[in-house]
Parts: sequence; structure tokens; C-alpha cells
Amino acid sequence: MINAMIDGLQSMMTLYNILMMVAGTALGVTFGAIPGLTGGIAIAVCLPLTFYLDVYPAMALLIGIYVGGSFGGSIPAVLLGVPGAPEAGITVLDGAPMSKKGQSGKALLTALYASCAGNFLSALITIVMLMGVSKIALMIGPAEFVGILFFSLVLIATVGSSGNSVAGLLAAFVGLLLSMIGTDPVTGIARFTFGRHELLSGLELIPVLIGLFVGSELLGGVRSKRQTQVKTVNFKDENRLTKKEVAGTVPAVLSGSVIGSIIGALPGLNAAVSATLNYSFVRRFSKNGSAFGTGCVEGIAASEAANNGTVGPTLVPLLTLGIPGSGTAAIFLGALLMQGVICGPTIMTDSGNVVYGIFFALLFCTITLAVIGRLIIRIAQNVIFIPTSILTPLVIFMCCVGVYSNRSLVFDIYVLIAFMLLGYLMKLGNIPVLPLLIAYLLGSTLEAHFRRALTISQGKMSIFFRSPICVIFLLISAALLAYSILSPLRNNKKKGK
Amino acid sequence: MKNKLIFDTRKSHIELVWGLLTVLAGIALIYVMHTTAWSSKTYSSITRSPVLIPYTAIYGMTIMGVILSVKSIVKIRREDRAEKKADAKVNVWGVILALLWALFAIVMPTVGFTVSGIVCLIVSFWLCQADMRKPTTYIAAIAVPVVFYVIFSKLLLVRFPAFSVF
Repeated sequence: MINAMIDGLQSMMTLYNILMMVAGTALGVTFGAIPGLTGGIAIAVCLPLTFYLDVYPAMALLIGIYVGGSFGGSIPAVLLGVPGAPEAGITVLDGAPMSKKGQSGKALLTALYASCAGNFLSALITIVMLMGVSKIALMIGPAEFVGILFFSLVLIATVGSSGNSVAGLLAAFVGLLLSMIGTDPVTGIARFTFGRHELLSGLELIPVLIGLFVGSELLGGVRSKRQTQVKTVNFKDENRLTKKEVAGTVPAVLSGSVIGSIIGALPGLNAAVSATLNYSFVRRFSKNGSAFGTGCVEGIAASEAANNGTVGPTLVPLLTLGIPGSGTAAIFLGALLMQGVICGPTIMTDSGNVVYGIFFALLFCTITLAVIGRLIIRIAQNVIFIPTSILTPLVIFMCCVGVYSNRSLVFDIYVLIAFMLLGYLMKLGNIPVLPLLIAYLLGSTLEAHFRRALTISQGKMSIFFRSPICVIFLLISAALLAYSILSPLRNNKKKGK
Repeated sequence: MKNKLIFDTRKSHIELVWGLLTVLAGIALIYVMHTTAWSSKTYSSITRSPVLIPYTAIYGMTIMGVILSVKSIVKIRREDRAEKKADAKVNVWGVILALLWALFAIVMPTVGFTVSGIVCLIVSFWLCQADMRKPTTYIAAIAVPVVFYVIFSKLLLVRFPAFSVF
């Protein structure tokens, strides 16, 4: 373990990788600062580029974008009153009023330092979680894996669908079906390829990921007007943070790190949930609870620490079990697969140096953000006002080039456009994209473990009911499904009364 | 001038369309599964059968589609009684923009990457109501494809199609 840690640290902390981390952080903040674009889109757009990089620079770039993007959404939340990303929605409650009072600099500084503190602390918690979960993961066999994967899909489709469980389950089944396209690994038969040789290896990961992300976020905003009021940020005079104010944010940051770590590690629950929970929790127990929502630094700290506190822990189920719990984690799975790093129980033994490298990158990017955050804010606040009429086509063009560069096949651009349209139509219909994405990524793994378990049991399904871990996860999944079906019925009855 | 390609509707209507489309897709796929060789073949053991998970996904999708359709119909009737207003905006311009870039993929092998990229960007900027009087709009439309061509083809050695009409 110590050797892997040292190897990871040495491999990640080269000048080239450090430059990648700084560039990634700056790019992530800038993308996150533009309403309509998110850090996730930046990661998706840069994903094809990582094909040309080694694993450490690739991870350095993507982690930098991830860390930067998680903070970047708070910049328009404060300056424009519009969150740059869903998780920054709570930051608007106190950020916008502070900006109106001429304290935008103070609000942004609070968001910056709370984000960095939340990120840093949760990254430390993550390293501990990682070691624990990876040891447990080694005890898991194919039947247990089927139970865990099934539970993850149900959790993401029900809890992660904001109350619309039927739509979530529909999306999950569609994703599962999409994962079946290609050659069956056991029999070698081509499934759902309709005679196209480009589909023999399945749908390419990059166009699907990028298409779903970009389509659902960008296409709905075409020809829609965006606020262009200019508000310059200054960090002097009344925009300085006092020692008393900093001390007042400490409990909010600490609780945000813990809540963010727990929420981040659970598939299907996202940073917005973490921010909302911590904001409510801190407001309840704070001496200044009544000031929340009127422009209070503690409120901003509570939101930002919690939403950034999910950054590191989101990677725990991904790395140890191969289960991406969020869209961004799904992109990281794609990036790691492209680099030949297989996520799962044996990752600590096979690629432990890469895992530790990723977490050292996380810590370094957080420190980078804290050091150069003010400069990046000054750049990002200008980029914010680039019209979407220019940005949207440019982003789509970059996506087309990115997916084409992977295999030099025009077919991949068609797949990209198809999934962009699918992502947009899903957003219109309130069908969540995340279950489809996760099911698409996990479908083939689920099938492989399912068939492996049946091979071990010589075709008997009882193997899934003989394993206590599998039974527990199946029972929890059944309970979640029952709750998601019965809860709306009960609410409708109450409304009827 | 009212933009007819951005119109208001209710989310429940869109959900109904989704539900019905999913049911139709499910029925079509079940038909495909029954008629293609690989899926209608009998396999010696369940572990060798490549149809179990696909059938599960198709039937699951179809059933969810039916449930979503029924839910949407109930919701629409309730909303009609309550005279609920539109709560969703359908932006057809977004679809047109996406189809424009599909056109880019069609013409790129013939016209070449740079030319098709420049033309599609200019049309996209116009579609998105960018300020076409500003020279920076055209500079961006020309510079970005050229820069990308240089970076990807010279540095990353990606082979882009060249102009090949004649």
C-alpha cells in the first residue's frame, strides 16, 4: 500500500501533470461559470482528448476540471442569481442577496474557500473509505455483484429520479437494452447490430456519454435570452472576510464535508441533495439561522462545502466496485476504461498507484483552486457573458470533432447526434438521463456476472438466494421499488381527501 | 414576432408521447426478437442464452411505457379539470440545430472537414440568433475549425476528410 501511494504521488506530481491539473482546474471553473454549461460537459468534451494522453495526465486533467467545475457553478449563482449547475442552486439563496448588497466578492470568496475546505476534507475521508470498501469488495463473488449492481440501478432509477420512479425505471431498461448492442461475449452472436459492422463492438462510449450530457443541457437553451447585466467583482473593503465570519463558517464546512462524503458515496444521490441537506441542517442549528436566505456567509459555506464534499467520495463506488453513482463518475469510468484501468474489487492490487495518484490529484487541485481561485474568478466573470448563441454551436462542433477523432468514423457523429436528441427529448419528458447512462454502463457487467453466477450454480437461480449479501441487496431493492410505487399513491389519496 | 418553433405544452402530454413511443418500440423489438435467427434459436443452457437480459430489458421497457402512458392519461384528465396551464417549453430550434450537425457529418466526407465546419458554424450561429453583423462571429466560425484541424491532424494525427468534390 505504501509503495503504491509513493508511486502514485511520484507519477502524478510531475511538471507536465501539474500543468494539466492547473489547466483543468481553470477550465472547469470557466465552464462551470457559464450558465448552461457545467463541469460535467467540460469533462465530456475533453474525454476524447484523454485518449492521446497517458493515464496520469489524463486523470490530472479530468480531476482538475471536476474540482474546478464543482466550484464554478457558484459564480453565476452569486453574480447573476442563476446557478451554473444544479448543485449551486442553494448558493443562490444567500449569494444573490449578498451580490445585490455589493458584497459579491465576499460571497465568492466564501464559496471558494468553503468549496476547497469541503473538497479537501472529504478527499481525506475518501481515502479511508476507499481502503475499507476495497477490502470488503474482495469478498464479493458474482452473485453478490449481481445483487449490488441491481440495487445500484434501482436506487438510481427511484431515489435518483426526483420522485419520478416510473420514468427512472423506464430509462434504466432503455439503458440496459442499449448495453446489449454488439457481440455477445459468450456465444459470439451479434445482437441488435442490424447488419452494421460499426456496432459489432457495441455503441461507442464517448458519443453516448457526450451526446446525452450535451443534448440534455444545451439544446433546450437555443434562442433563449440570457441575462447580460455586468457586475464587477472586487475583493477589497467590505468584501473582505473577517476572522469572525471565517470562524462562523467552520461548523458548516465540517458538517458539509461529512454529509457530502456520505451522499457522494451513494449511487444516485447527487451534490444538489447534499447541498440541500447541509443547508437545512446548518440553518436549524445555527445561531444565525434567521439570517439564512437574506445574504449570510454561513449559508453559502453550508451549500458549497456540502456540494463540493461529494467530489471525491463519488469516485469510491466507481473505483472499488465499478459502479458509477453519477454522470461525472460515469465519464471517469469511460476515461479509465480507455486507459486500460479496470475498476472493481481488484483495482487496489492491479492499479493501486493510479488510484492514489487520482486522490493526490484531487488534493492538489483543491489547493490549486484555493491559491489561484481569485484570478480564475476574474477570468470566469468575463467569460460568463459570452453569448450562448456563440457558445452552443462551438461546444457542439467540439463534441463532433472529439467523437470523430476516436475512430475516424462518421458513424460516431451520427450516434452523437442521435443521443443528443435523445437526451433533449428525455429532458423535455422529465425522463431522467442518469439511470439510462448508468444502466448502459453497467448492463454488460451485470449480464456477465449474472451468467457467471449461473455457470457456477449450473443454471440454478437459487445461487442468488443462498448468498446473504445478495439477498440483503435484493430485499432493499424490493423495498425501494415498493416505496417508490406506494408513496405517490398515498400522496394522491391525501390530495383527494 | 412570435417564435412558432418554441411552443408551450404540458409535461404530462410529453410524458404520454414518451409512454406511447416506448410501448411501440417495445412491441417492434419483441417482433424483431421473434424473427431474427439469434434470438429465436434454442440454447442448451440458460448460461449460454444471449436473449435473457435483452428480453428482460424489452419487456421491462414496454411495461414501464404502459404504466407511464396510463399515469399520463390520468394526469392529463386531472389537469384538464383543473384547467392547468402549460408548464413545459418545446424548443424545436434545438432539434433543428442537432439535425444541422447531422448534415455536417453527411457532407464532411465530400466537402472536407474545414469547409463543412465553417459553413455549419455560420449557419448554427444564425440559427442561434448570434449577432451576424459582428465580424467576430465570422472570425470565430473560420478560426475554430482551422485551429481544430491543425491541432487534431498535425499534433494528434487524426485523419480528416479533405475537399473531394472534383
